[in-house]
Amino acid sequence: MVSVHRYIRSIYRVGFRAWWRQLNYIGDAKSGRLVGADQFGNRYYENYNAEEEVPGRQRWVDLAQHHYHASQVPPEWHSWISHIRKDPPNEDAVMVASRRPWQQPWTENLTGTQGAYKPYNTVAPKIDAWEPKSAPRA
Amino acid sequence: MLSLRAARRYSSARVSFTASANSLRRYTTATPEASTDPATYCRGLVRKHDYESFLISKFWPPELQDGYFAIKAFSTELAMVQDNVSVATIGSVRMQFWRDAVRDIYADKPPRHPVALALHAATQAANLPAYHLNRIVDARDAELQADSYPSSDALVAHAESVSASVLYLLLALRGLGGPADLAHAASHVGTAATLATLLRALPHHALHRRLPIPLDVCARHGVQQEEVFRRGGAAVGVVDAVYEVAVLANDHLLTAREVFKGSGGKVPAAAMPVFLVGVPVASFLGQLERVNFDGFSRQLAVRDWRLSWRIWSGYYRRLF
Amino acid sequence: MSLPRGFLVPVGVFRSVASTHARAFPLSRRLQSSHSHARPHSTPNYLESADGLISDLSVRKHRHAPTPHKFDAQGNEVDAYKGGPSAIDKAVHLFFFTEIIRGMWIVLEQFFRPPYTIMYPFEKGPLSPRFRGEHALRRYPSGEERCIACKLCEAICPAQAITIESETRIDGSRKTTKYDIDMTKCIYCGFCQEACPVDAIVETQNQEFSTETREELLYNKEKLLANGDRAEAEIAANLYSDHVYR
Repeated sequence: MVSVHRYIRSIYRVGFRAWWRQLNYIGDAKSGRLVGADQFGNRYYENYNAEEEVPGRQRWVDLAQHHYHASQVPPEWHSWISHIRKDPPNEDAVMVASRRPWQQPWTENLTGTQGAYKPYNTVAPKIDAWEPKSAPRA
Repeated sequence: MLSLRAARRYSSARVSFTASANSLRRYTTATPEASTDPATYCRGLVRKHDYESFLISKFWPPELQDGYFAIKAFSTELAMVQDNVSVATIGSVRMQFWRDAVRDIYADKPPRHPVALALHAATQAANLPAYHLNRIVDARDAELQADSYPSSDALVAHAESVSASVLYLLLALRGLGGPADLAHAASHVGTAATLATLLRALPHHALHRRLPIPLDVCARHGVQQEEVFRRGGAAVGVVDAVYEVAVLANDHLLTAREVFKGSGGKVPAAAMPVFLVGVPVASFLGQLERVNFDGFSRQLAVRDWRLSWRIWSGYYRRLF
Repeated sequence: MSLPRGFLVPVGVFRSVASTHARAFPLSRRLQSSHSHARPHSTPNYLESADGLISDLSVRKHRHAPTPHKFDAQGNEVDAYKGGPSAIDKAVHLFFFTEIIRGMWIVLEQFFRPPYTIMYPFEKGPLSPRFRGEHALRRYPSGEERCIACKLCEAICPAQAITIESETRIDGSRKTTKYDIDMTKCIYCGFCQEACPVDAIVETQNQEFSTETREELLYNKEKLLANGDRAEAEIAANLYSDHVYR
């Protein structure tokens, strides 16, 4: 594969602005089919042309947030981008049927922020601490 | 780097704190509005994993269908344990759970497992002996521990405890627990059903390095287990071994038909839904014969498209 | 006294070396000859054969002989440099840096080569539908909790990471009040999900749950249920795809 051709072709396809964005985040010029977007505005692409992408790099996400993190991908898309499922979640009949009305919105891994999970006991404590009571002197 | 990290903390905390607050701190153990219906669950389970039984269920009277699905779901659930666990110990733990569940069902405090709840409802409606339920559990537990059957007799004994017990329970559900000839016929049909199921699942079992063909049959035809696992239907003698087991199954089916000789082969109308299980067995054995007893043939993986018709006509001709 | 000794010592050394040689030589001969008795005519004895020594000497003598001219079958002389580049060609390559430019072209190609590295947060490596990651507690499609507090997972857990407390509710159902998993103890063996008779505890495909503090890894029941509530579609779809194989 003549890689400079691939690089320049990708720039030609996606345009200069998108290339600059890719250079700032992914660090490589990639072009492919826009598969869809999730509720957070992350956009998902794929390119299965063996001349252009090596296996393992055929699906990628353009994360919406500047402070990106891997856990910003919701679970449905996570199983698409990890090659667990063939079809994107909105076209996957099984995935659509598995959705439940009581499902909660996805949150990214909030460790190190105020929203981080704090463990707490879900039952009453077994030990009651002694509370000193002093009787007022007469 | 430090400032970037701090910025990320700040921004993401602002963005998603509200969302996390109501999802994490919500009291999630609150009782939900709608509860899962055990009968629907059992019906779905049987439909997904035991389609023939689902077809037969249509010929059960509507008021007994829930009980039918409960018993079938119980048997299916136990049969699936073997494939769901990686270590036999975990399987034993689950079998112990079911042993406790059977005990608790008869003590009127079933665990909240949908199958156990459905079974409890069935035991309230009909007199189902706990002995048969325990026998299924014990047989499945023994199946987990042993990797093969030493002899044809051991295989038949296993088949009888696994499948015939289900048929005894179904007879009891239908209120026909009394007549000895029906129980006798049911034991043979049940044995044939398990043998046919094992033969049908031969490629699946071989994939998991289990050989359902008893060892004495293997020895008689020079079948080597390892060769079967590796080469499938091309292994030496496997066709002959499959033939022998299929003949054994067919013998049991014929013996069961013998029982009803007095009435011209016709099964009593009330017991017919129970004995419909023989129809898919006969159908599968015919299929096996057509592919010349090649247990690994791909044609066997295809469901017989005339099966619904056969079950229907079998019910009305009262033959299996 | 010290000077003569200084002269004497090397002489003594030389003499001793020479004497050991003189003594060793017949010994080795004897050994070799006895050896050749044991294995007759198997190995030629170079020390005894005179022509072995002579041939070696002759090679040393003619070492600086001129390289012989090569001739083909017809007797014509063969010139190895006949079809090679001319002096002008060589000069052009030298003056225009062609080899350096070729080398730089390779560097340029490598610079634009698509890296084999998977650019992690944007691209992810393939995972199995049976991948065992963060735990979650599931619900029935109706929204009811699956867990029936049978404590099989607690019993089977090899790392003893699971702690369960249960109570019987007013409607007679047994539910957990406490379901804690210490994720720092967990070894992700998947035994809990295998042991569960109601498919309540599962391991999801989520592996991006690393935390900054240790206490955040002490999951309680509500955290686990929240995990399940968020990822239910993915879990259910994976279990559905996998049911064919088990």
